Amino acid sequence: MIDPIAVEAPQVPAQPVPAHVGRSYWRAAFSRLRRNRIGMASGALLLFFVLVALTAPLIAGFITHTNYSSQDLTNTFASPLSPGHLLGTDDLGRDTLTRLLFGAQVSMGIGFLAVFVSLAIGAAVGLVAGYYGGLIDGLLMRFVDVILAIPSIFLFILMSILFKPSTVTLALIIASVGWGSIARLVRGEVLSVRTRDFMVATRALGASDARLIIRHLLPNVLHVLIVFGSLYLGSVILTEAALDFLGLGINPPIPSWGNMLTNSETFFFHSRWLVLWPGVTIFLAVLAANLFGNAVRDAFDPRLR
Amino acid sequence: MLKYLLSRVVATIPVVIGVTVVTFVVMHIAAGSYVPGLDLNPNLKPEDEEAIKRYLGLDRPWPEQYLTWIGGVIHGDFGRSMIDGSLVSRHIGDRLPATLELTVTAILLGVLISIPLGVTGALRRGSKLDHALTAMSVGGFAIPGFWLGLMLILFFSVQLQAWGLPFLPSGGVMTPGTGGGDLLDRIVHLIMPATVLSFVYLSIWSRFTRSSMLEVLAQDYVRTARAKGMSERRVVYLHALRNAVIPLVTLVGLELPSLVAGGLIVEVVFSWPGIGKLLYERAIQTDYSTVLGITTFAALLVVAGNLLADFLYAFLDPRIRYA
Repeated sequence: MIDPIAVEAPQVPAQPVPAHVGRSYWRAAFSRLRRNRIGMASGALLLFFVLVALTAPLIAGFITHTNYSSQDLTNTFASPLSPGHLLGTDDLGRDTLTRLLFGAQVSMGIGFLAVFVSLAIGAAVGLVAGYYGGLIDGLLMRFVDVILAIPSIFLFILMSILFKPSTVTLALIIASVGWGSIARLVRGEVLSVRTRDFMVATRALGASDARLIIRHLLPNVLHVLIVFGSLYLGSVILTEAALDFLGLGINPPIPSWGNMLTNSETFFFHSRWLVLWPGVTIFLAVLAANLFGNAVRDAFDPRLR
Repeated sequence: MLKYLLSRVVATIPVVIGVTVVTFVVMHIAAGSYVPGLDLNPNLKPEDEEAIKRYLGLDRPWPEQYLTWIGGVIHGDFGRSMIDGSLVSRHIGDRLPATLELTVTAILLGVLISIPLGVTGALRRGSKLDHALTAMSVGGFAIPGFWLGLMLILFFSVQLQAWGLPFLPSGGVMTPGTGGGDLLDRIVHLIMPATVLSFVYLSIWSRFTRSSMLEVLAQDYVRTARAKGMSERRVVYLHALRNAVIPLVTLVGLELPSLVAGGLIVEVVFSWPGIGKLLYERAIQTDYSTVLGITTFAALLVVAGNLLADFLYAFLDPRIRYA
C-alpha cells in the first residue's frame, strides 16, 4: 500500500525573486483581482455557466437522462422536483433543466464570441485610427459615429431578418455594432500613448509601423480591452436573450434562455415556473458577468475606482 | 459660443449623410428588389412582376434609388410601405405620441428618482443604506427588461385579477373605446411599462450621480463653502448638487435617442402602440421600406439628440465653450 502523502510532488524550494524585479502592472492587477471577494465569487459563477455550456450534452446524457427536444406529452407542466425533472417540464413535456443547460451554450457561446469579435475589430480600428491620425482617423471615426447613431436594436432586427441567424451569425450581428465604442476608447488611449518618449525612441530605431502598433501600442491599450470586454459580456447576454425572446435570434427547437420565455406567459396558470427559471438564469449570468467586469475594472484600472 | 455651436452642427452633417447611406445600403443588401407578397401569387406573370418593380422604382440603379429616397427624406417623406403603399411618415406620426408618452415618463421617473438616491448614497457613503442602494442598482442592471415586464404583468394583471383584486391593465395606452380622454385611465396603463423602462435608467443614473457627487464634495470650493459656515443643506444642494448633475445632463442627453428606439422591447411586451412595436411588426412582415424609414428617422433623431446634449452641456459648463 502506498502512502498517499508520500507520492505528493517533492517540495520545490521557492524561487528566489531577484531584488530588481518590481511587481509589474499585470501582477499587481491580478493580485488586486484575486483579493476582490465579490469579483472572485462572480468569476466562479461565470466559470460555472461556461462549464455547464461546455458539458451540457454530457450532463443531459448522464444526469438528466434526456435531451432538449425530447417531448413527453403525457407529462406536460410537471412541477419542479417531480421524478426525473428537477425543474419541471414545459408545455410539450420537455425537461426544463436540460433546456436551460443547452440554453447556456447559446448565451455563453454568443456572449464570448461577440465580445471577442468586437474587441478584435474595435482594437484594430482604434489602433489604426489613433496611430495614423489625419484623414484615416477622421474617416474611421466618422464611420464609428454613424454606426453608433443608428439605434442598435433596429440594426439587430434589420440584420436578423436578413440573415435568419445561427449562433455564429447572431454573434457577428451583435459584434457588428459593438466594436464601435471599443474603437473609440482604444483610439483615445492610443492618442495619449503615441507621443510618449518610448514610442519616439522605438521609431527612431527604425521600427516599422506594423511593429510599433502590434508590439508597442497594443500592449499599452490591452487593459482597455480587458476592462471593456469583461463589462460588455453582460450586455451581450441581455441583448441576445431579448432578440431570442422576440423571435429574431435563435429559434426553437434549439433552446435558449430568451426563446424559452417566448409565449411562456400563456402557460402561467399551468406552470409559473416556466416564466421564472429562464429569467432567473439570465439574471444570474448577467449579474455574474457584470460583477466580474466591475472587479476586473477595479483591478486593471484603479484610477476609475 | 456661437462658433462652438456652428462647428458642432457642421461636424454633424457627414454623420447624417453616413447614417442614411448605411441604413439604405444594409436594407438593400437585405431586400434586393424583393417585394413582399409577390411570390405568394401563383397567377402573377413575370412581366407583371417587372411592371410592379418598375412602378416601385426597384429596377433603377442603387445610387439613383438612394437619391430619390433621400430627396424625400429631406422633405420629411420617409418612403412608402412595401406591403400596403401607406406613407411611412404617416405611420411614424401616428405612433410617435404613444412612444413619447412612454419614454418621456420613464426618463423623467429615472431622473427624479435617481438623483435623490445618488445623493443619499454619496452623503452616507459606506453606510448600510449606501450598500443596499449599490446592490439594488447592480441587480437592476442585470434584470432582463422584457422578463421584468412579463413578471409584472403576471402579478399585477393576471394574479391580482385571479384573486379578485383590483388589477392593472396588461397592455395598450388606454381602455379600448374610451378615446383616451380619461387621464386616470391613461396613467393606469402607463404604470407598468414606464416602471420597466425607467429601471435601467435608475440603475445607471443613480450610480452616476453618486460618484459625481462624491467627486464634487471633495472639491476645494465645497470645503470653502463649509469653512464660511454655510449650512450643510445649502452646501450640498446649492453648491455641490448643481455641479454634480452637469455630467448627468450628457448622460441623459445620450438617452434622447432611446426616446424612440429604447422602448422597443417594452412596447412589444406591453402591446404599446408605439414606434418600436411598429418597427417590430413591420420587420416580421418583411416590410423593408417601412423598417428603413423608421430606422432612418430614429437615427436622425439620435444625431439631433447628441447635438442637443452638446449644446446643453456647453450652456451649463462654460469650460466646454472655450476649450
